[in-house]
Amino acid sequence: MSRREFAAPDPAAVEPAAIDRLIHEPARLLIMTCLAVVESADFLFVQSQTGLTGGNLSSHMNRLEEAGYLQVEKSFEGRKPKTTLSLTAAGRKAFETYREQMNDMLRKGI
Amino acid sequence: MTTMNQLSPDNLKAAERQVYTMKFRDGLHDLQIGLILLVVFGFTLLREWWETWWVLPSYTVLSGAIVGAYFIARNRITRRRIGTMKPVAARKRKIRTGVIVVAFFIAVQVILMVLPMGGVVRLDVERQAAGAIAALIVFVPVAAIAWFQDFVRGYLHAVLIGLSTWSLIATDIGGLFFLSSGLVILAVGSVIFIRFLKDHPLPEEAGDVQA
Repeated sequence: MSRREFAAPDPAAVEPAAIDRLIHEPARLLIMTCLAVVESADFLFVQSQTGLTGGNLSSHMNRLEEAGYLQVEKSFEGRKPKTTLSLTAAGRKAFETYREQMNDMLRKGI
Repeated sequence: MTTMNQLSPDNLKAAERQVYTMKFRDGLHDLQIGLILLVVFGFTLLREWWETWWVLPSYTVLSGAIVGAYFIARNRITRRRIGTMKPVAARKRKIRTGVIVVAFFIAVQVILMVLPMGGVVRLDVERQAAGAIAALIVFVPVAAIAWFQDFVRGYLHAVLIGLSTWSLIATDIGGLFFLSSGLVILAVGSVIFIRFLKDHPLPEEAGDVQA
Protein backbone atom coordinates (compact mmCIF):
# COMPACT_ATOMS: atom_id res chain seq x y z
CA MET A 1 0.00 0.00 0.00
CA SER A 2 1.48 3.31 -1.02
CA ARG A 3 1.86 6.08 1.49
CA ARG A 4 0.02 9.31 0.70
CA GLU A 5 1.82 12.43 1.71
CA PHE A 6 -0.26 15.34 2.89
CA ALA A 7 1.04 18.90 2.75
CA ALA A 8 1.54 20.53 6.12
CA PRO A 9 -1.35 22.87 6.96
CA ASP A 10 -0.68 26.39 5.77
CA PRO A 11 -1.06 28.87 8.65
CA ALA A 12 -2.43 31.42 6.16
CA ALA A 13 -5.08 28.97 4.96
CA VAL A 14 -8.75 29.27 5.78
CA GLU A 15 -9.78 27.78 9.11
CA PRO A 16 -12.65 25.25 8.88
CA ALA A 17 -14.49 27.34 11.45
CA ALA A 18 -14.51 30.24 9.00
CA ILE A 19 -16.66 28.31 6.54
CA ASP A 20 -20.15 29.72 6.16
CA ARG A 21 -22.25 27.05 7.88
CA LEU A 22 -25.47 28.46 6.53
CA ILE A 23 -24.35 27.56 2.99
CA HIS A 24 -22.47 24.43 4.03
CA GLU A 25 -25.66 22.54 4.91
CA PRO A 26 -26.23 20.06 1.99
CA ALA A 27 -29.80 21.06 1.09
CA ARG A 28 -29.01 24.78 1.18
CA LEU A 29 -25.84 24.16 -0.81
CA LEU A 30 -27.94 22.49 -3.52
CA ILE A 31 -30.32 25.47 -3.57
CA MET A 32 -27.45 27.97 -3.75
CA THR A 33 -25.69 26.00 -6.53
CA CYS A 34 -28.88 25.77 -8.56
CA LEU A 35 -29.57 29.49 -8.24
CA ALA A 36 -25.92 30.47 -8.83
CA VAL A 37 -26.11 29.37 -12.48
CA VAL A 38 -29.40 31.12 -13.30
CA GLU A 39 -30.74 34.66 -12.99
CA SER A 40 -33.89 33.45 -11.23
CA ALA A 41 -36.00 30.32 -11.01
CA ASP A 42 -39.44 29.50 -9.73
CA PHE A 43 -40.05 27.37 -6.66
CA LEU A 44 -41.02 24.32 -8.71
CA PHE A 45 -37.86 24.48 -10.81
CA VAL A 46 -35.57 24.61 -7.76
CA GLN A 47 -37.58 21.77 -6.24
CA SER A 48 -37.23 19.59 -9.34
CA GLN A 49 -33.50 20.33 -9.54
CA THR A 50 -32.68 19.69 -5.91
CA GLY A 51 -35.10 16.83 -5.25
CA LEU A 52 -36.23 18.48 -1.99
CA THR A 53 -39.84 18.29 -0.83
CA GLY A 54 -41.89 21.49 -0.90
CA GLY A 55 -41.87 21.89 2.89
CA ASN A 56 -38.16 21.23 3.16
CA LEU A 57 -37.34 23.68 0.39
CA SER A 58 -39.60 26.31 1.99
CA SER A 59 -37.83 26.12 5.34
CA HIS A 60 -34.31 26.31 3.82
CA MET A 61 -35.49 29.11 1.56
CA ASN A 62 -36.61 31.09 4.60
CA ARG A 63 -33.24 30.60 6.33
CA LEU A 64 -31.39 31.85 3.25
CA GLU A 65 -33.79 34.76 2.85
CA GLU A 66 -33.31 35.80 6.50
CA ALA A 67 -29.54 35.77 5.93
CA GLY A 68 -29.98 38.11 2.95
CA TYR A 69 -28.68 35.53 0.47
CA LEU A 70 -31.95 34.90 -1.28
CA GLN A 71 -34.60 37.14 -2.73
CA VAL A 72 -38.10 35.69 -2.76
CA GLU A 73 -40.79 37.28 -4.91
CA LYS A 74 -44.39 36.15 -4.66
CA SER A 75 -46.72 36.92 -7.53
CA PHE A 76 -49.68 35.46 -9.38
CA GLU A 77 -49.69 33.80 -12.77
CA GLY A 78 -53.37 33.94 -13.62
CA ARG A 79 -54.96 32.60 -10.45
CA LYS A 80 -52.00 30.53 -9.40
CA PRO A 81 -49.45 31.82 -6.88
CA LYS A 82 -45.90 31.89 -8.17
CA THR A 83 -42.78 32.08 -6.03
CA THR A 84 -39.63 33.24 -7.78
CA LEU A 85 -36.22 32.79 -6.17
CA SER A 86 -32.96 34.49 -7.00
CA LEU A 87 -29.63 35.00 -5.27
CA THR A 88 -28.94 38.51 -4.01
CA ALA A 89 -25.56 40.15 -4.68
CA ALA A 90 -24.59 39.23 -1.10
CA GLY A 91 -25.72 35.64 -1.75
CA ARG A 92 -23.61 35.34 -4.89
CA LYS A 93 -20.60 36.80 -3.09
CA ALA A 94 -21.07 34.47 -0.11
CA PHE A 95 -21.39 31.46 -2.44
CA GLU A 96 -18.22 32.44 -4.33
CA THR A 97 -16.34 32.92 -1.07
CA TYR A 98 -17.59 29.55 0.17
CA ARG A 99 -16.39 27.82 -3.02
CA GLU A 100 -12.99 29.48 -2.82
CA GLN A 101 -12.58 28.56 0.85
CA MET A 102 -13.61 24.95 0.28
CA ASN A 103 -11.33 24.57 -2.75
CA ASP A 104 -8.49 26.12 -0.78
CA MET A 105 -9.02 23.78 2.16
CA LEU A 106 -9.24 20.69 -0.03
CA ARG A 107 -6.15 21.71 -1.98
CA LYS A 108 -4.14 22.24 1.21
CA GLY A 109 -5.44 19.06 2.84
CA ILE A 110 -6.86 20.66 5.98
CA MET B 1 -38.90 13.37 -7.58
CA THR B 2 -35.40 12.55 -8.72
CA THR B 3 -32.35 14.14 -7.16
CA MET B 4 -29.76 15.29 -9.65
CA ASN B 5 -26.21 14.39 -8.73
CA GLN B 6 -24.46 16.98 -10.93
CA LEU B 7 -25.59 19.93 -8.84
CA SER B 8 -22.26 20.29 -7.13
CA PRO B 9 -20.63 23.59 -6.09
CA ASP B 10 -17.15 22.37 -7.11
CA ASN B 11 -18.20 21.97 -10.75
CA LEU B 12 -20.42 24.84 -11.78
CA LYS B 13 -20.07 23.91 -15.48
CA ALA B 14 -21.73 20.55 -14.83
CA ALA B 15 -24.36 22.22 -12.65
CA GLU B 16 -25.04 24.74 -15.41
CA ARG B 17 -25.34 21.96 -18.00
CA GLN B 18 -27.78 20.09 -15.78
CA VAL B 19 -29.95 23.14 -15.15
CA TYR B 20 -30.06 24.28 -18.80
CA THR B 21 -30.68 20.85 -20.32
CA MET B 22 -33.59 20.18 -17.98
CA LYS B 23 -36.01 21.19 -20.73
CA PHE B 24 -34.82 18.27 -22.91
CA ARG B 25 -35.50 15.68 -20.20
CA ASP B 26 -39.16 15.44 -21.26
CA GLY B 27 -38.46 13.83 -24.66
CA LEU B 28 -40.81 16.30 -26.38
CA HIS B 29 -38.04 17.68 -28.57
CA ASP B 30 -37.29 14.14 -29.81
CA LEU B 31 -40.99 13.53 -30.51
CA GLN B 32 -41.08 16.79 -32.48
CA ILE B 33 -38.05 15.90 -34.63
CA GLY B 34 -39.31 12.32 -35.17
CA LEU B 35 -42.72 13.55 -36.38
CA ILE B 36 -41.14 16.09 -38.75
CA LEU B 37 -39.02 13.30 -40.27
CA LEU B 38 -42.15 11.19 -40.79
CA VAL B 39 -43.81 14.14 -42.52
CA VAL B 40 -40.79 14.40 -44.85
CA PHE B 41 -41.06 10.66 -45.52
CA GLY B 42 -44.75 11.10 -46.38
CA PHE B 43 -43.92 13.68 -49.04
CA THR B 44 -41.15 11.56 -50.55
CA LEU B 45 -43.76 8.93 -51.40
CA LEU B 46 -45.06 11.33 -54.05
CA ARG B 47 -43.64 10.95 -57.54
CA GLU B 48 -41.34 13.85 -58.45
CA TRP B 49 -41.94 15.51 -55.10
CA TRP B 50 -39.22 18.08 -55.78
CA GLU B 51 -41.13 19.46 -58.75
CA THR B 52 -44.55 19.50 -57.08
CA TRP B 53 -45.37 23.08 -56.18
CA TRP B 54 -47.51 22.38 -53.12
CA VAL B 55 -44.99 20.15 -51.36
CA LEU B 56 -42.95 22.97 -49.78
CA PRO B 57 -45.96 25.01 -48.52
CA SER B 58 -47.63 21.85 -47.18
CA TYR B 59 -44.41 20.75 -45.50
CA THR B 60 -44.03 24.21 -43.94
CA VAL B 61 -47.61 24.17 -42.60
CA LEU B 62 -47.35 20.64 -41.20
CA SER B 63 -43.93 21.22 -39.63
CA GLY B 64 -45.17 24.52 -38.23
CA ALA B 65 -48.11 22.70 -36.65
CA ILE B 66 -45.74 20.14 -35.08
CA VAL B 67 -43.45 22.87 -33.73
CA GLY B 68 -46.51 24.75 -32.40
CA ALA B 69 -47.78 21.57 -30.70
CA TYR B 70 -44.31 21.14 -29.18
CA PHE B 71 -44.39 24.58 -27.57
CA ILE B 72 -47.95 24.07 -26.29
CA ALA B 73 -46.97 20.69 -24.83
CA ARG B 74 -43.91 22.22 -23.17
CA ASN B 75 -46.11 24.85 -21.53
CA ARG B 76 -48.87 22.50 -20.48
CA ILE B 77 -46.86 19.40 -19.56
CA THR B 78 -43.22 20.23 -18.83
CA ARG B 79 -43.42 23.65 -17.18
CA ARG B 80 -46.24 22.56 -14.91
CA ARG B 81 -44.05 19.71 -13.69
CA ILE B 82 -40.56 21.17 -13.43
CA GLY B 83 -41.16 24.93 -13.40
CA THR B 84 -39.18 27.57 -15.22
CA MET B 85 -36.05 29.67 -14.82
CA LYS B 86 -34.44 32.73 -16.37
CA PRO B 87 -30.92 32.21 -17.72
CA VAL B 88 -27.98 34.41 -16.78
CA ALA B 89 -26.86 37.08 -19.27
CA ALA B 90 -23.98 35.00 -20.71
CA ARG B 91 -26.33 32.12 -21.40
CA LYS B 92 -28.89 34.45 -23.00
CA ARG B 93 -26.16 35.67 -25.37
CA LYS B 94 -25.25 32.08 -26.26
CA ILE B 95 -28.90 31.22 -26.96
CA ARG B 96 -29.32 34.38 -29.11
CA THR B 97 -26.22 33.51 -31.16
CA GLY B 98 -27.59 29.99 -31.62
CA VAL B 99 -30.91 31.33 -32.89
CA ILE B 100 -29.12 33.56 -35.44
CA VAL B 101 -26.94 30.68 -36.71
CA VAL B 102 -29.90 28.30 -37.00
CA ALA B 103 -32.08 30.95 -38.71
CA PHE B 104 -29.32 31.59 -41.25
CA PHE B 105 -29.01 27.91 -42.14
CA ILE B 106 -32.77 27.46 -42.32
CA ALA B 107 -32.90 30.37 -44.79
CA VAL B 108 -30.17 28.68 -46.86
CA GLN B 109 -32.15 25.42 -46.74
CA VAL B 110 -35.34 27.10 -47.96
CA ILE B 111 -33.49 28.75 -50.85
CA LEU B 112 -31.87 25.45 -51.82
CA MET B 113 -35.22 23.64 -51.60
CA VAL B 114 -36.83 26.21 -53.86
CA LEU B 115 -34.06 26.03 -56.50
CA PRO B 116 -34.71 22.42 -57.66
CA MET B 117 -38.44 23.06 -57.67
CA GLY B 118 -37.94 26.01 -59.97
CA GLY B 119 -35.82 23.85 -62.25
CA VAL B 120 -32.65 25.89 -61.54
CA VAL B 121 -30.83 22.85 -60.14
CA ARG B 122 -31.30 19.37 -61.64
CA LEU B 123 -31.18 16.82 -58.82
CA ASP B 124 -30.96 13.94 -61.28
CA VAL B 125 -27.64 15.17 -62.78
CA GLU B 126 -25.22 15.65 -59.85
CA ARG B 127 -26.89 13.42 -57.29
CA GLN B 128 -23.89 12.55 -55.13
CA ALA B 129 -22.65 16.11 -54.86
CA ALA B 130 -26.14 17.51 -54.33
CA GLY B 131 -26.82 14.84 -51.70
CA ALA B 132 -23.64 15.60 -49.79
CA ILE B 133 -24.18 19.36 -49.86
CA ALA B 134 -27.84 19.04 -48.85
CA ALA B 135 -26.90 16.66 -46.02
CA LEU B 136 -24.33 19.12 -44.74
CA ILE B 137 -26.74 22.05 -44.93
CA VAL B 138 -29.37 20.09 -42.97
CA PHE B 139 -26.83 18.66 -40.51
CA VAL B 140 -25.24 21.98 -39.50
CA PRO B 141 -28.30 23.76 -37.97
CA VAL B 142 -29.41 20.67 -36.05
CA ALA B 143 -25.86 20.14 -34.75
CA ALA B 144 -25.72 23.88 -33.96
CA ILE B 145 -28.87 23.57 -31.84
CA ALA B 146 -27.26 20.63 -30.02
CA TRP B 147 -24.06 22.61 -29.40
CA PHE B 148 -25.65 25.89 -28.34
CA GLN B 149 -28.11 24.10 -26.04
CA ASP B 150 -25.69 21.46 -24.62
CA PHE B 151 -28.14 18.86 -25.94
CA VAL B 152 -26.16 15.64 -26.53
CA ARG B 153 -28.98 13.65 -28.21
CA GLY B 154 -29.23 16.49 -30.72
CA TYR B 155 -25.99 15.30 -32.36
CA LEU B 156 -27.63 11.92 -33.03
CA HIS B 157 -30.58 13.77 -34.57
CA ALA B 158 -28.18 15.79 -36.73
CA VAL B 159 -26.38 12.67 -37.99
CA LEU B 160 -29.62 10.80 -38.73
CA ILE B 161 -31.18 13.79 -40.51
CA GLY B 162 -27.99 14.37 -42.53
CA LEU B 163 -27.80 10.70 -43.58
CA SER B 164 -31.52 10.63 -44.42
CA THR B 165 -31.14 13.70 -46.63
CA TRP B 166 -28.11 12.27 -48.38
CA SER B 167 -29.81 8.90 -49.00
CA LEU B 168 -32.94 10.62 -50.32
CA ILE B 169 -31.03 12.55 -52.95
CA ALA B 170 -28.01 10.37 -53.70
CA THR B 171 -29.50 6.86 -53.60
CA ASP B 172 -32.55 5.09 -54.98
CA ILE B 173 -34.07 4.09 -51.62
CA GLY B 174 -36.11 7.28 -51.52
CA GLY B 175 -37.26 8.44 -48.10
CA LEU B 176 -36.83 5.09 -46.33
CA PHE B 177 -34.00 6.47 -44.22
CA PHE B 178 -36.28 9.32 -43.12
CA LEU B 179 -38.86 6.74 -42.07
CA SER B 180 -36.41 4.64 -40.06
CA SER B 181 -34.69 7.69 -38.50
CA GLY B 182 -38.06 9.19 -37.62
CA LEU B 183 -39.21 5.97 -35.99
CA VAL B 184 -35.97 5.58 -34.01
CA ILE B 185 -36.12 9.17 -32.72
CA LEU B 186 -39.84 8.81 -31.94
CA ALA B 187 -39.20 5.61 -30.00
CA VAL B 188 -36.42 7.23 -27.97
CA GLY B 189 -38.58 10.31 -27.35
CA SER B 190 -41.56 8.20 -26.25
CA VAL B 191 -39.50 6.26 -23.70
CA ILE B 192 -37.99 9.48 -22.30
CA PHE B 193 -41.41 11.17 -22.23
CA ILE B 194 -43.08 8.30 -20.33
CA ARG B 195 -40.18 8.17 -17.86
CA PHE B 196 -40.40 11.95 -17.41
CA LEU B 197 -44.12 11.76 -16.60
CA LYS B 198 -43.43 9.02 -14.05
CA ASP B 199 -40.51 10.86 -12.43
CA HIS B 200 -42.21 14.27 -12.38
CA PRO B 201 -45.86 14.03 -11.40
CA LEU B 202 -47.87 17.23 -11.19
CA PRO B 203 -47.10 18.97 -7.87
CA GLU B 204 -50.76 18.60 -6.74
CA GLU B 205 -50.57 14.85 -7.43
CA ALA B 206 -47.31 14.47 -5.54
CA GLY B 207 -48.78 16.28 -2.53
CA ASP B 208 -45.86 18.69 -2.25
CA VAL B 209 -46.33 22.00 -0.50
CA GLN B 210 -45.79 25.14 -2.52
CA ALA B 211 -44.19 28.03 -0.64
